[in-house]
Amino acid sequence: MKRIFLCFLFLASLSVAFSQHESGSFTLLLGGNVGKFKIDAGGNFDKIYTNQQLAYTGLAGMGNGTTFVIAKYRLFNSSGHSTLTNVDAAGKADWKQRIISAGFRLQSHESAVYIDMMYVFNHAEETISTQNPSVDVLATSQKIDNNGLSFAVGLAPRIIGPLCLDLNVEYSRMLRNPTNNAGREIPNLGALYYGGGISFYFNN
Amino acid sequence: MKTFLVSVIFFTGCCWWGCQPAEEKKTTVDLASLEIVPHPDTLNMLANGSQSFSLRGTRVSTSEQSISNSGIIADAKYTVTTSDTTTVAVNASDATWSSSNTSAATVAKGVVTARNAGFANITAAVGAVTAQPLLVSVKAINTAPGLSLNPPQVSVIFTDTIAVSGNVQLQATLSISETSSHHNNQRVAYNGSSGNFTEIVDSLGTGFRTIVATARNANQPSLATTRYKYVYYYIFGSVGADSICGDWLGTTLGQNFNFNISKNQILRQYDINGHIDIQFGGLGLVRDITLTGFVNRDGTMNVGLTQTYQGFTISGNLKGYFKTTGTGEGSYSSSAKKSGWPSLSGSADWTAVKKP
Repeated sequence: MKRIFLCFLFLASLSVAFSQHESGSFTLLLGGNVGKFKIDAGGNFDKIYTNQQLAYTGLAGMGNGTTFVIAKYRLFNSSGHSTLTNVDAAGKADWKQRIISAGFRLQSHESAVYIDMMYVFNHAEETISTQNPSVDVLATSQKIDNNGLSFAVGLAPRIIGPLCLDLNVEYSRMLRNPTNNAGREIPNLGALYYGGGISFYFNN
Repeated sequence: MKTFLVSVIFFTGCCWWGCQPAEEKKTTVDLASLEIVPHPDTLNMLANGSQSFSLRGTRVSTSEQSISNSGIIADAKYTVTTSDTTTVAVNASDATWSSSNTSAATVAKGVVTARNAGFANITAAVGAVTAQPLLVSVKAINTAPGLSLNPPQVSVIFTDTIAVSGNVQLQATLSISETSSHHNNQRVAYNGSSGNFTEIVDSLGTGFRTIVATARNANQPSLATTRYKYVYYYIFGSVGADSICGDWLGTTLGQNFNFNISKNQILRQYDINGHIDIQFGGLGLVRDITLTGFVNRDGTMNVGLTQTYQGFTISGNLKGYFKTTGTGEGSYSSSAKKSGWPSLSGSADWTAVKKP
């Protein structure tokens, strides 16, 4: 949460220096960005997934220049080492996550700051196994589909024409924690995302 | 800004959970099997013999260890079970022993005692674990059983009833008979573990009587042991009974003492009166201690001892019986007490003959 506040303050200070888009007319929004996707998962995610790749996000929306209906599509993959107990072997873990979110973007009249509030459809798939030696019964795959909410604050200053720089911070939280195939309640898969990219605001 | 703040508050209301640690569980089963040692197929024993056995068991220690592989949302686990079997000695007293045929052989705390010819399966169990049975084959010993009668062998009595007691070897058949009373018990009961018995013979005829006790081998009755008890039965006041009356000379520890037996017509008993010298440790010889008592109907003497000597109060009793109307024997015990002094005592056996 501390990061959210720091990023928000940073973007708010930058917004003063950048001009706003044109408002009042139909606007089509397209964009994409790349960034770090930090899953907390009870504090274990970083311990297991030591090789975290960047998350890629695509964005589409439409609105009147100040209020948009938007949808995001995000892919995030990681690999690492699963946690093994009472056996002398090396664990292996692969993480694939696909997030589709839909909601609203509120764009300020006076600045380039925006706020996104979205409903999240989260799909995560984890595959664990062992190597050296390979133990078949310790290999499994688990898929989880759950929903949540996300909140993002960003800055989209115009660069040239419809092209804007897009910097944002997003925090998501799942609404409930389902149980996995072993009966264990899995941790919340909410995450903190901060990334950068470009956006196009096409006005008619 | 308002929307932003509402959203922040909403998200801070969420919570999350940690993951569970891997489990490790161990279980130990104390006794898995039990065996009687040694374990021949058949054990041959002779009747009345005994043999001790020990027990040995196998103890199985089972260890279960859970092996797991965990990710963020995926879990895989399996349990590895390892067993370790060891042989241990089991205390025979801790087991419950049983015999399928107690007339052939009995067992207690691992000691098998052969009783009679036959077969018996001996088993032992500790809790729910039972050993394989051990078959015991018992062969009878064809010897005359042991028999003993409690003293005196000869009694003078003044009632027609007498108790015959003694000890007989287990498994034997005991019979006691007497002609004048027509007493003939061919299966006298005795204690199953000690062999002790007491048989009442009543309705005796007066005069000299012989009680016959015979113990026979249960498997071969011709093998028998016979003991005799002789009885002089006189009715009070008869010539035979009155023959005990008169002066008697007793002897104890080399010292003579005198007493007199007289007939008491009122109480219809024979009274005893006399004096005896008794040696007390720490006090020396105390002379002329008074004897006062009477003869019981069963021929035993019931005599009290009383005297006062140098501040000591001397008391005690003298017991005995008649071997014939002219001989007797027994024992006495007495004590000398004085305030402030330790209790002194004197006891010894005695014999006596009637003076001519």
